[in-house]
Amino acid sequence: MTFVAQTNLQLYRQLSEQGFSQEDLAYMHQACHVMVQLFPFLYRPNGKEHFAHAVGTASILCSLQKRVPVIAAGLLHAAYRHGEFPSFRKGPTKSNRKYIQNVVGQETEEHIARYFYLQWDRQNFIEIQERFTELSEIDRDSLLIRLADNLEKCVDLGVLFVSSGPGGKRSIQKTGPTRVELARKLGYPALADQIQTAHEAILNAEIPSILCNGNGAQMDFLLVPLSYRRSLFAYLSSLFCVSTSSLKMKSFK
Amino acid sequence: MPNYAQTNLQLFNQLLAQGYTKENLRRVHQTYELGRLLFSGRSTASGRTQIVHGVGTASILAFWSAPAYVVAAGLVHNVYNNGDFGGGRRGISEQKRAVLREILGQEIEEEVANFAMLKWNEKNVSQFNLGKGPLTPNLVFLRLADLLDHNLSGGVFYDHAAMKGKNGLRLSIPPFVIQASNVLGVSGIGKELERAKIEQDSLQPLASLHEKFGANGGFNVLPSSYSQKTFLKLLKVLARYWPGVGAAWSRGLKRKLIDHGLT
Repeated sequence: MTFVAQTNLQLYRQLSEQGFSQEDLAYMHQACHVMVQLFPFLYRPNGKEHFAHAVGTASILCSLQKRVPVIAAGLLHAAYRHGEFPSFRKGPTKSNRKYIQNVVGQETEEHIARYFYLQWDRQNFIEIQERFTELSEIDRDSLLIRLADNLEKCVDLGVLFVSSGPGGKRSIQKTGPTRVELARKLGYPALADQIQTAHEAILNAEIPSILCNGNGAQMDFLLVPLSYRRSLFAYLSSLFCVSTSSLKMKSFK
Repeated sequence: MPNYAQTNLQLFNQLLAQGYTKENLRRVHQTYELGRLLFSGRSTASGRTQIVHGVGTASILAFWSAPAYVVAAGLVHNVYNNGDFGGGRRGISEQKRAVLREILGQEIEEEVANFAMLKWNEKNVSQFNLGKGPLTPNLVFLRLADLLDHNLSGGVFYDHAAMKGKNGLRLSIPPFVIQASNVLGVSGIGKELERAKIEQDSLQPLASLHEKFGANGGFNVLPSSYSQKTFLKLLKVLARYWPGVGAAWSRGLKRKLIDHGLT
Protein backbone atom coordinates (compact mmCIF):
# COMPACT_ATOMS: atom_id res chain seq x y z
CA MET A 1 0.00 0.00 0.00
CA THR A 2 1.30 3.47 -0.91
CA PHE A 3 2.17 5.80 1.97
CA VAL A 4 -0.85 7.77 3.19
CA ALA A 5 -0.07 10.83 5.35
CA GLN A 6 -2.01 11.06 8.59
CA THR A 7 -0.76 14.37 10.00
CA ASN A 8 -0.41 17.85 8.57
CA LEU A 9 3.39 17.58 8.92
CA GLN A 10 3.51 14.31 6.95
CA LEU A 11 1.37 15.93 4.26
CA TYR A 12 3.67 18.96 3.97
CA ARG A 13 6.63 16.63 3.64
CA GLN A 14 4.85 14.58 0.95
CA LEU A 15 3.96 17.73 -1.00
CA SER A 16 7.53 18.96 -0.70
CA GLU A 17 8.96 15.63 -1.87
CA GLN A 18 6.57 15.56 -4.84
CA GLY A 19 7.92 18.92 -5.96
CA PHE A 20 5.06 21.25 -5.09
CA SER A 21 6.12 24.91 -4.90
CA GLN A 22 6.48 27.06 -1.77
CA GLU A 23 3.25 28.86 -2.72
CA ASP A 24 1.44 25.53 -2.94
CA LEU A 25 2.80 24.53 0.46
CA ALA A 26 1.71 27.83 1.99
CA TYR A 27 -1.72 27.38 0.42
CA MET A 28 -2.04 23.85 1.83
CA HIS A 29 -0.91 25.13 5.20
CA GLN A 30 -3.71 27.66 5.06
CA ALA A 31 -6.18 24.89 4.14
CA CYS A 32 -4.94 22.80 7.10
CA HIS A 33 -5.44 25.79 9.37
CA VAL A 34 -9.05 26.10 8.17
CA MET A 35 -9.56 22.36 8.69
CA VAL A 36 -8.37 22.59 12.29
CA GLN A 37 -10.83 25.43 12.91
CA LEU A 38 -13.73 23.55 11.31
CA PHE A 39 -13.34 20.13 12.92
CA PRO A 40 -11.60 20.58 16.26
CA PHE A 41 -13.53 17.94 18.21
CA LEU A 42 -14.58 15.53 15.49
CA TYR A 43 -13.71 11.81 15.52
CA ARG A 44 -14.37 8.95 13.12
CA PRO A 45 -16.49 6.00 14.32
CA ASN A 46 -13.25 4.01 14.77
CA GLY A 47 -11.94 6.61 17.23
CA LYS A 48 -9.47 8.16 14.79
CA GLU A 49 -9.36 11.93 14.62
CA HIS A 50 -11.20 13.46 11.68
CA PHE A 51 -8.04 15.50 10.97
CA ALA A 52 -6.16 12.31 10.20
CA HIS A 53 -8.90 11.13 7.85
CA ALA A 54 -9.03 14.48 6.07
CA VAL A 55 -5.24 14.62 5.71
CA GLY A 56 -5.23 11.01 4.48
CA THR A 57 -7.80 11.82 1.80
CA ALA A 58 -5.70 14.79 0.65
CA SER A 59 -2.57 12.62 0.71
CA ILE A 60 -4.17 10.01 -1.60
CA LEU A 61 -5.14 12.78 -4.04
CA CYS A 62 -1.61 14.16 -3.79
CA SER A 63 -0.12 10.78 -4.68
CA LEU A 64 -2.40 10.76 -7.75
CA GLN A 65 -0.65 13.99 -8.85
CA LYS A 66 -3.83 16.06 -8.64
CA ARG A 67 -3.67 19.85 -8.62
CA VAL A 68 -3.59 21.75 -5.33
CA PRO A 69 -7.25 22.93 -5.39
CA VAL A 70 -8.39 19.30 -5.67
CA ILE A 71 -6.02 18.20 -2.88
CA ALA A 72 -7.29 21.04 -0.67
CA ALA A 73 -10.87 20.04 -1.49
CA GLY A 74 -9.98 16.53 -0.35
CA LEU A 75 -8.74 18.00 2.91
CA LEU A 76 -11.93 19.96 3.45
CA HIS A 77 -14.35 17.53 1.81
CA ALA A 78 -16.53 17.22 4.92
CA ALA A 79 -16.66 20.97 5.62
CA TYR A 80 -20.34 21.41 4.80
CA ARG A 81 -21.45 18.23 6.52
CA HIS A 82 -19.53 18.51 9.80
CA GLY A 83 -17.78 21.91 9.87
CA GLU A 84 -18.22 24.36 12.75
CA PHE A 85 -18.63 27.62 10.85
CA PRO A 86 -18.63 31.12 12.37
CA SER A 87 -22.25 31.36 11.17
CA PHE A 88 -23.10 28.44 13.54
CA ARG A 89 -24.88 26.73 10.65
CA LYS A 90 -23.98 23.59 8.78
CA GLY A 91 -24.28 23.00 5.06
CA PRO A 92 -23.38 25.06 1.99
CA THR A 93 -25.27 28.17 3.05
CA LYS A 94 -24.40 31.43 1.35
CA SER A 95 -22.30 32.65 4.26
CA ASN A 96 -20.50 29.34 4.70
CA ARG A 97 -19.63 29.18 1.01
CA LYS A 98 -18.34 32.72 1.16
CA TYR A 99 -16.25 31.87 4.21
CA ILE A 100 -14.62 28.92 2.44
CA GLN A 101 -14.14 30.95 -0.76
CA ASN A 102 -12.39 33.67 1.21
CA VAL A 103 -9.91 31.32 2.82
CA VAL A 104 -9.16 28.76 0.11
CA GLY A 105 -10.47 30.32 -3.08
CA GLN A 106 -13.37 29.74 -5.43
CA GLU A 107 -12.10 26.68 -7.29
CA THR A 108 -11.49 24.64 -4.15
CA GLU A 109 -14.82 25.75 -2.71
CA GLU A 110 -16.66 24.65 -5.85
CA HIS A 111 -15.13 21.20 -5.53
CA ILE A 112 -16.17 20.98 -1.88
CA ALA A 113 -19.74 22.08 -2.64
CA ARG A 114 -19.97 19.68 -5.58
CA TYR A 115 -18.74 16.88 -3.34
CA PHE A 116 -21.43 17.74 -0.78
CA TYR A 117 -24.17 17.47 -3.39
CA LEU A 118 -22.82 14.21 -4.79
CA GLN A 119 -25.15 11.37 -3.91
CA TRP A 120 -23.30 8.17 -3.26
CA ASP A 121 -25.65 5.24 -3.26
CA ARG A 122 -26.08 2.14 -5.40
CA GLN A 123 -28.77 3.66 -7.62
CA ASN A 124 -26.65 6.72 -8.23
CA PHE A 125 -23.65 4.52 -8.99
CA ILE A 126 -25.57 2.91 -11.85
CA GLU A 127 -26.70 6.27 -13.17
CA ILE A 128 -23.15 7.62 -13.03
CA GLN A 129 -21.87 4.59 -14.93
CA GLU A 130 -24.56 5.01 -17.59
CA ARG A 131 -23.71 8.58 -18.42
CA PHE A 132 -20.07 8.52 -17.48
CA THR A 133 -18.87 10.20 -20.67
CA GLU A 134 -21.15 13.18 -20.07
CA LEU A 135 -19.62 14.02 -16.67
CA SER A 136 -17.83 17.35 -16.37
CA GLU A 137 -14.27 17.68 -15.06
CA ILE A 138 -15.49 18.89 -11.68
CA ASP A 139 -17.91 15.96 -11.38
CA ARG A 140 -15.10 13.53 -12.14
CA ASP A 141 -12.94 15.21 -9.51
CA SER A 142 -15.79 14.92 -7.00
CA LEU A 143 -16.02 11.21 -7.73
CA LEU A 144 -12.28 10.91 -7.30
CA ILE A 145 -12.43 12.71 -3.94
CA ARG A 146 -15.18 10.28 -2.91
CA LEU A 147 -13.04 7.31 -3.89
CA ALA A 148 -10.08 8.77 -1.99
CA ASP A 149 -12.34 9.32 1.02
CA ASN A 150 -13.50 5.70 0.83
CA LEU A 151 -10.00 4.36 0.45
CA GLU A 152 -8.80 6.41 3.40
CA LYS A 153 -11.49 4.85 5.59
CA CYS A 154 -9.98 1.47 4.73
CA VAL A 155 -6.37 2.48 5.47
CA ASP A 156 -4.91 0.61 8.47
CA LEU A 157 -8.02 -1.63 8.47
CA GLY A 158 -9.99 1.41 9.70
CA VAL A 159 -13.47 0.02 9.05
CA LEU A 160 -12.78 -2.96 11.34
CA PHE A 161 -12.17 -0.84 14.44
CA VAL A 162 -15.78 0.38 14.48
CA SER A 163 -18.01 -1.34 17.02
CA SER A 164 -19.98 -2.85 14.10
CA GLY A 165 -16.74 -4.28 12.62
CA PRO A 166 -18.31 -7.06 10.47
CA GLY A 167 -20.61 -4.43 8.92
CA GLY A 168 -17.54 -2.91 7.28
CA LYS A 169 -16.71 -6.23 5.65
CA ARG A 170 -20.25 -6.66 4.34
CA SER A 171 -20.22 -3.16 2.86
CA ILE A 172 -16.93 -3.88 1.08
CA GLN A 173 -18.23 -7.17 -0.30
CA LYS A 174 -21.27 -5.30 -1.64
CA THR A 175 -19.78 -2.15 -3.12
CA GLY A 176 -16.04 -2.86 -3.32
CA PRO A 177 -15.92 -4.10 -6.94
CA THR A 178 -17.94 -1.10 -8.14
CA ARG A 179 -15.45 1.28 -6.53
CA VAL A 180 -12.53 -0.50 -8.14
CA GLU A 181 -14.26 -0.34 -11.52
CA LEU A 182 -15.07 3.35 -11.08
CA ALA A 183 -11.42 4.15 -10.29
CA ARG A 184 -10.38 2.38 -13.50
CA LYS A 185 -13.03 4.23 -15.51
CA LEU A 186 -11.82 7.55 -14.13
CA GLY A 187 -8.38 6.68 -15.45
CA TYR A 188 -6.60 5.82 -12.20
CA PRO A 189 -5.56 2.14 -12.39
CA ALA A 190 -3.05 2.59 -9.52
CA LEU A 191 -5.87 3.85 -7.31
CA ALA A 192 -8.04 0.90 -8.36
CA ASP A 193 -5.24 -1.48 -7.34
CA GLN A 194 -4.82 0.31 -4.02
CA ILE A 195 -8.55 0.07 -3.29
CA GLN A 196 -8.54 -3.61 -4.20
CA THR A 197 -5.51 -4.31 -1.95
CA ALA A 198 -7.05 -2.41 0.98
CA HIS A 199 -10.34 -4.29 0.55
CA GLU A 200 -8.61 -7.67 0.44
CA ALA A 201 -6.64 -6.83 3.58
CA ILE A 202 -9.86 -5.96 5.40
CA LEU A 203 -11.69 -9.08 4.24
CA ASN A 204 -8.82 -11.27 5.47
CA ALA A 205 -8.24 -9.53 8.82
CA GLU A 206 -9.74 -10.00 12.27
CA ILE A 207 -9.51 -7.34 14.98
CA PRO A 208 -10.12 -8.16 18.67
CA SER A 209 -13.32 -6.47 19.81
CA ILE A 210 -11.50 -4.83 22.76
CA LEU A 211 -9.75 -2.54 20.25
CA CYS A 212 -12.98 -1.29 18.70
CA ASN A 213 -14.16 2.19 19.56
CA GLY A 214 -15.62 1.97 23.05
CA ASN A 215 -18.46 4.46 22.75
CA GLY A 216 -20.33 2.40 20.16
CA ALA A 217 -20.51 5.29 17.66
CA GLN A 218 -21.66 4.32 14.17
CA MET A 219 -21.18 7.81 12.76
CA ASP A 220 -18.63 10.60 13.21
CA PHE A 221 -18.89 11.96 16.75
CA LEU A 222 -17.81 15.01 18.75
CA LEU A 223 -15.69 15.00 21.89
CA VAL A 224 -16.06 18.46 23.35
CA PRO A 225 -13.35 19.34 25.92
CA LEU A 226 -14.71 19.09 29.44
CA SER A 227 -14.31 22.83 30.18
CA TYR A 228 -16.34 23.90 27.16
CA ARG A 229 -19.85 23.67 25.85
CA ARG A 230 -21.80 24.80 22.84
CA SER A 231 -22.65 28.44 23.32
CA LEU A 232 -26.27 29.38 23.86
CA PHE A 233 -26.28 31.60 20.79
CA ALA A 234 -24.94 28.78 18.63
CA TYR A 235 -27.51 26.39 20.07
CA LEU A 236 -30.40 28.79 19.38
CA SER A 237 -29.09 29.47 15.88
CA SER A 238 -28.99 25.79 15.07
CA LEU A 239 -32.63 25.47 16.19
CA PHE A 240 -33.64 27.81 13.39
CA CYS A 241 -31.22 26.38 10.90
CA VAL A 242 -32.42 24.56 7.78
CA SER A 243 -31.49 20.90 8.13
CA THR A 244 -28.57 19.94 5.97
CA SER A 245 -30.42 16.97 4.57
CA SER A 246 -32.95 19.25 2.90
CA LEU A 247 -30.07 21.05 1.21
CA LYS A 248 -29.04 17.86 -0.55
CA MET A 249 -31.49 18.40 -3.37
CA LYS A 250 -29.11 18.67 -6.22
CA SER A 251 -27.57 15.48 -7.44
CA PHE A 252 -25.86 14.24 -10.53
CA LYS A 253 -29.18 14.10 -12.32
CA MET B 1 14.07 4.28 10.40
CA PRO B 2 10.80 2.59 11.41
CA ASN B 3 7.51 4.28 10.57
CA TYR B 4 6.09 5.05 13.97
CA ALA B 5 2.31 5.22 14.42
CA GLN B 6 0.53 8.55 14.15
CA THR B 7 -3.04 7.33 14.65
CA ASN B 8 -4.76 5.02 17.11
CA LEU B 9 -5.32 2.49 14.30
CA GLN B 10 -1.64 2.38 13.40
CA LEU B 11 -0.71 1.99 17.05
CA PHE B 12 -3.20 -0.84 17.64
CA ASN B 13 -2.05 -2.63 14.48
CA GLN B 14 1.56 -2.26 15.66
CA LEU B 15 0.75 -3.72 19.09
CA LEU B 16 -1.15 -6.61 17.50
CA ALA B 17 1.81 -7.34 15.24
CA GLN B 18 4.14 -7.22 18.27
CA GLY B 19 2.00 -9.84 20.01
CA TYR B 20 0.66 -7.80 22.92
CA THR B 21 -1.67 -9.72 25.23
CA LYS B 22 -5.37 -8.93 25.32
CA GLU B 23 -5.04 -7.39 28.78
CA ASN B 24 -2.22 -5.10 27.63
CA LEU B 25 -4.17 -4.14 24.49
CA ARG B 26 -7.15 -3.29 26.68
CA ARG B 27 -5.03 -1.03 28.91
CA VAL B 28 -3.53 0.86 25.97
CA HIS B 29 -6.93 1.15 24.29
CA GLN B 30 -8.55 2.50 27.44
CA THR B 31 -5.74 5.01 27.90
CA TYR B 32 -6.18 6.17 24.30
CA GLU B 33 -9.90 6.72 24.87
CA LEU B 34 -9.21 8.77 27.99
CA GLY B 35 -6.43 10.72 26.24
CA ARG B 36 -8.52 11.64 23.23
CA LEU B 37 -11.18 13.11 25.55
CA LEU B 38 -8.75 15.06 27.75
CA PHE B 39 -6.69 16.29 24.76
CA SER B 40 -9.65 17.09 22.53
CA GLY B 41 -9.16 20.47 20.84
CA ARG B 42 -5.55 20.75 22.07
CA SER B 43 -2.86 21.22 19.47
CA THR B 44 0.93 21.30 19.50
CA ALA B 45 2.71 24.36 18.09
CA SER B 46 2.94 22.65 14.68
CA GLY B 47 -0.80 22.07 14.34
CA ARG B 48 -0.34 18.37 15.00
CA THR B 49 -2.77 17.47 17.78
CA GLN B 50 -1.67 16.46 21.28
CA ILE B 51 -3.19 13.00 21.03
CA VAL B 52 -1.20 12.35 17.83
CA HIS B 53 1.95 13.29 19.70
CA GLY B 54 0.90 10.89 22.47
CA VAL B 55 0.32 8.12 19.93
CA GLY B 56 3.73 8.77 18.32
CA THR B 57 5.45 8.64 21.70
CA ALA B 58 3.65 5.41 22.67
CA SER B 59 4.54 3.85 19.32
CA ILE B 60 8.26 4.58 19.84
CA LEU B 61 8.09 3.10 23.35
CA ALA B 62 6.35 -0.03 22.06
CA PHE B 63 8.84 -0.44 19.22
CA TRP B 64 11.73 -0.32 21.71
CA SER B 65 10.01 -2.91 23.91
CA ALA B 66 8.92 -0.75 26.83
CA PRO B 67 6.50 -2.48 29.25
CA ALA B 68 2.82 -2.06 28.32
CA TYR B 69 2.10 0.30 31.21
CA VAL B 70 4.90 2.62 30.05
CA VAL B 71 3.50 2.49 26.49
CA ALA B 72 0.09 3.46 27.92
CA ALA B 73 1.71 6.24 29.97
CA GLY B 74 3.34 7.48 26.75
CA LEU B 75 -0.10 8.09 25.27
CA VAL B 76 -1.02 10.58 27.98
CA HIS B 77 2.46 11.55 29.21
CA ASN B 78 1.76 15.30 29.22
CA VAL B 79 -1.89 15.15 30.23
CA TYR B 80 -1.42 17.11 33.47
CA ASN B 81 0.00 20.08 31.60
CA ASN B 82 -2.01 19.91 28.39
CA GLY B 83 -5.16 17.95 29.20
CA ASP B 84 -8.52 19.53 29.92
CA PHE B 85 -9.92 17.91 33.07
CA GLY B 86 -12.91 20.22 33.16
CA GLY B 87 -11.62 22.34 36.04
CA GLY B 88 -10.29 25.15 33.90
CA ARG B 89 -6.81 24.73 35.40
CA ARG B 90 -3.69 23.17 33.94
CA GLY B 91 -0.98 21.40 35.95
CA ILE B 92 -0.90 18.46 38.30
CA SER B 93 -3.17 18.27 41.36
CA GLU B 94 -4.07 15.56 43.86
CA GLN B 95 -7.67 15.46 42.63
CA LYS B 96 -6.61 14.88 39.03
CA ARG B 97 -4.14 12.22 40.15
CA ALA B 98 -6.85 10.40 42.09
CA VAL B 99 -9.15 10.30 39.07
CA LEU B 100 -6.41 9.08 36.74
CA ARG B 101 -5.30 6.45 39.27
CA GLU B 102 -8.84 5.14 39.49
CA ILE B 103 -9.27 4.86 35.72
CA LEU B 104 -5.82 3.86 34.50
CA GLY B 105 -4.33 2.25 37.61
CA GLN B 106 -1.44 3.28 39.83
CA GLU B 107 1.39 2.04 37.60
CA ILE B 108 0.43 4.19 34.62
CA GLU B 109 -0.51 7.22 36.69
CA GLU B 110 2.81 7.24 38.53
CA GLU B 111 4.75 7.43 35.27
CA VAL B 112 2.55 10.29 34.05
CA ALA B 113 2.97 12.13 37.36
CA ASN B 114 6.76 11.68 37.22
CA PHE B 115 6.71 13.21 33.75
CA ALA B 116 4.95 16.28 35.13
CA MET B 117 6.99 16.61 38.33
CA LEU B 118 10.59 15.55 37.68
CA LYS B 119 12.66 18.14 35.86
CA TRP B 120 14.31 17.13 32.59
CA ASN B 121 17.41 19.29 32.60
CA GLU B 122 21.16 18.90 32.12
CA LYS B 123 21.85 18.41 35.83
CA ASN B 124 19.30 15.64 36.32
CA VAL B 125 20.10 13.83 33.06
CA SER B 126 23.84 13.96 33.79
CA GLN B 127 23.18 12.55 37.26
CA PHE B 128 21.07 9.78 35.75
CA ASN B 129 23.98 8.93 33.47
CA LEU B 130 26.08 8.43 36.63
CA GLY B 131 23.42 6.24 38.24
CA LYS B 132 22.23 8.97 40.60
CA GLY B 133 19.57 11.66 40.82
CA PRO B 134 15.78 11.70 40.82
CA LEU B 135 15.07 10.50 37.26
CA THR B 136 13.75 6.94 36.98
CA PRO B 137 14.61 4.67 34.01
CA ASN B 138 10.98 4.66 32.85
CA LEU B 139 10.84 8.45 32.93
CA VAL B 140 14.03 8.71 30.89
CA PHE B 141 12.56 6.20 28.43
CA LEU B 142 9.40 8.33 28.18
CA ARG B 143 11.37 11.57 27.78
CA LEU B 144 13.55 10.10 25.02
CA ALA B 145 10.48 8.85 23.14
CA ASP B 146 8.78 12.23 23.59
CA LEU B 147 11.88 13.99 22.26
CA LEU B 148 12.22 11.64 19.31
CA ASP B 149 8.57 12.03 18.29
CA HIS B 150 8.87 15.83 18.35
CA ASN B 151 12.04 15.74 16.28
CA LEU B 152 10.97 13.08 13.80
CA SER B 153 7.86 14.96 12.77
CA GLY B 154 9.75 18.19 12.08
CA GLY B 155 7.25 19.76 14.45
CA VAL B 156 9.91 21.45 16.58
CA PHE B 157 10.47 23.95 13.78
CA TYR B 158 7.01 25.35 14.41
CA ASP B 159 7.64 25.88 18.08
CA HIS B 160 9.15 29.33 18.40
CA ALA B 161 10.06 28.65 22.02
CA ALA B 162 11.93 25.47 21.07
CA MET B 163 13.64 27.21 18.18
CA LYS B 164 14.87 29.97 20.47
CA GLY B 165 16.24 27.33 22.79
CA LYS B 166 13.90 28.18 25.64
CA ASN B 167 12.98 24.53 25.91
CA GLY B 168 16.67 23.77 25.77
CA LEU B 169 16.93 20.06 25.26
CA ARG B 170 14.31 19.65 22.59
CA LEU B 171 15.91 20.84 19.38
CA SER B 172 19.58 20.70 20.25
CA ILE B 173 19.75 17.01 21.33
CA PRO B 174 22.95 17.42 23.40
CA PRO B 175 25.44 14.57 23.97
CA PHE B 176 24.29 13.85 27.53
CA VAL B 177 20.81 12.99 26.15
CA ILE B 178 22.34 10.56 23.67
CA GLN B 179 24.41 9.15 26.54
CA ALA B 180 21.22 8.66 28.59
CA SER B 181 19.85 6.43 25.82
CA ASN B 182 23.04 4.33 26.02
CA VAL B 183 22.85 4.10 29.81
CA LEU B 184 19.21 3.03 29.54
CA GLY B 185 20.10 0.33 26.99
CA VAL B 186 18.14 1.85 24.11
CA SER B 187 21.02 3.26 22.11
CA GLY B 188 18.82 2.84 19.00
CA ILE B 189 16.71 5.80 20.16
CA GLY B 190 19.89 7.86 20.55
CA LYS B 191 20.98 6.96 17.02
CA GLU B 192 17.53 7.87 15.67
CA LEU B 193 17.69 11.20 17.48
CA GLU B 194 21.03 11.95 15.82
CA ARG B 195 19.67 10.88 12.43
CA ALA B 196 16.51 12.97 12.93
CA LYS B 197 18.68 16.00 13.58
CA ILE B 198 20.55 15.47 10.31
CA GLU B 199 17.30 14.82 8.45
CA GLN B 200 15.92 18.11 9.69
CA ASP B 201 18.18 19.88 7.20
CA SER B 202 16.11 18.31 4.41
CA LEU B 203 13.07 20.10 5.82
CA GLN B 204 14.52 23.51 5.01
CA PRO B 205 12.07 24.07 2.12
CA LEU B 206 9.39 24.29 4.79
CA ALA B 207 11.29 26.95 6.72
CA SER B 208 9.13 29.83 5.55
CA LEU B 209 6.02 28.02 6.76
CA HIS B 210 7.54 27.67 10.18
CA GLU B 211 8.24 31.36 10.50
CA LYS B 212 4.77 32.27 9.33
CA PHE B 213 2.62 29.71 11.10
CA GLY B 214 4.56 28.69 14.20
CA ALA B 215 3.38 29.26 17.76
CA ASN B 216 4.83 29.48 21.24
CA GLY B 217 4.04 25.99 22.46
CA GLY B 218 0.67 24.22 22.34
CA PHE B 219 -2.68 25.92 21.97
CA ASN B 220 -6.41 25.27 22.16
CA VAL B 221 -8.51 25.24 19.03
CA LEU B 222 -11.94 26.57 19.78
CA PRO B 223 -14.59 27.35 17.18
CA SER B 224 -16.78 30.37 17.86
CA SER B 225 -19.77 28.11 18.48
CA TYR B 226 -18.20 26.91 21.76
CA SER B 227 -17.33 28.79 24.91
CA GLN B 228 -15.84 28.03 28.30
CA LYS B 229 -18.40 26.98 30.88
CA THR B 230 -19.28 30.06 32.88
CA PHE B 231 -19.29 28.38 36.28
CA LEU B 232 -15.61 27.43 35.93
CA LYS B 233 -14.43 30.91 36.93
CA LEU B 234 -16.62 30.77 40.01
CA LEU B 235 -15.30 27.28 40.76
CA LYS B 236 -11.72 28.53 40.68
CA VAL B 237 -12.47 31.30 43.19
CA LEU B 238 -14.46 29.00 45.50
CA ALA B 239 -11.77 26.31 45.43
CA ARG B 240 -9.33 28.80 46.92
CA TYR B 241 -11.43 29.27 50.08
CA TRP B 242 -13.29 25.97 50.38
CA PRO B 243 -11.36 22.72 49.88
CA GLY B 244 -14.62 20.77 49.61
CA VAL B 245 -15.15 22.32 46.18
CA GLY B 246 -12.13 20.43 44.84
CA ALA B 247 -13.54 17.12 46.07
CA ALA B 248 -16.96 17.91 44.61
CA TRP B 249 -15.33 18.77 41.28
CA SER B 250 -13.43 15.49 41.40
CA ARG B 251 -16.70 13.56 41.89
CA GLY B 252 -18.27 15.49 39.00
CA LEU B 253 -15.30 14.62 36.76
CA LYS B 254 -15.64 10.93 37.61
CA ARG B 255 -19.33 11.07 36.66
CA LYS B 256 -18.44 12.68 33.33
CA LEU B 257 -15.83 10.03 32.60
CA ILE B 258 -18.33 7.30 33.44
CA ASP B 259 -20.71 8.95 30.95
CA HIS B 260 -17.97 8.57 28.35
CA GLY B 261 -17.65 4.87 29.20
CA LEU B 262 -14.18 5.31 30.63
CA THR B 263 -14.31 3.46 33.92
